[in-house]
Amino acid sequence: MIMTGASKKVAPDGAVHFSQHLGFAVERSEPGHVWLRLPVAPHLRNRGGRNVHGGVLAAFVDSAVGAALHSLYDSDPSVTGWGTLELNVSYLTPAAGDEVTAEARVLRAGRSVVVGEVTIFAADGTPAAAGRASYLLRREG
Amino acid sequence: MVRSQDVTESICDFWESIPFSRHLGIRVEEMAEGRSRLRLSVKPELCNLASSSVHGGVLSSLVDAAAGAALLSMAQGQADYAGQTTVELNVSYLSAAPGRGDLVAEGNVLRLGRTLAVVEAEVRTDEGELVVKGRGTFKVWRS
Repeated sequence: MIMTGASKKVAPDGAVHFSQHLGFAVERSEPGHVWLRLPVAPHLRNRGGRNVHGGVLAAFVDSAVGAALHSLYDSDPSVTGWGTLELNVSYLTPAAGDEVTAEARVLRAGRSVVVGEVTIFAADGTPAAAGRASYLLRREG
Repeated sequence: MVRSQDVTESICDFWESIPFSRHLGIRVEEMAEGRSRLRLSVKPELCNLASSSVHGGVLSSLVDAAAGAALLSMAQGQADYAGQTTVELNVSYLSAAPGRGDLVAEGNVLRLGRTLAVVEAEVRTDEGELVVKGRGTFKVWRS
């Protein structure tokens, strides 16, 4: 995920962000620690219509850790954006049900690189995926 | 690779007896119910040039050892458990581990399936600073 100055808040061209397309919501936010919810629409599922597609969970890893960065840097004018450097996912169990939730936190916020982790839970509370991602921060000047 | 028939003493003693773990000086403080805590006293031969910081290979070995210990503590009680092998390991280095003092590694099983297990692990300094976070996937052998 690449976030730039203006799009930290609103897409400059009015286009639908991928994260909006995915349709998740931030339920609770503390600096560097966020909880998210993603309703699982039919087009986000595998064939058979039961389980969430693995690509959706990978995108949710990026979005959730990105939201944790947002909670740290949204009000920091010296940070103008960031881009994902590396992302990994372990799929733990198939996620059935109508929604998945995520808890993401920043593990380390350096001057130029930030690392965060996330656990994604199926609707019944079972851990469905675990991920970690690194981001390169863009700073003013 | 670990085979269940090799475990003839307490699992903590067994895990310490692995030659490479012994070479590094890993001590097992706790292994129970899918969790582990290991300790390593940093020595100059485990460090980078000028002993300024612990070598990254030592830290990834600690992640593997802590994750494997957590898995063994949970899987060993299953009647058909026959052994385990790491098949994938990832590590994020978050800050430099100082070239002195102790490191504490903790493992936690996220999922134990019939053939695969996923375990997370982290390494902290003895002052509690998080230096490494990692996750491993293990093949679980069944009899």
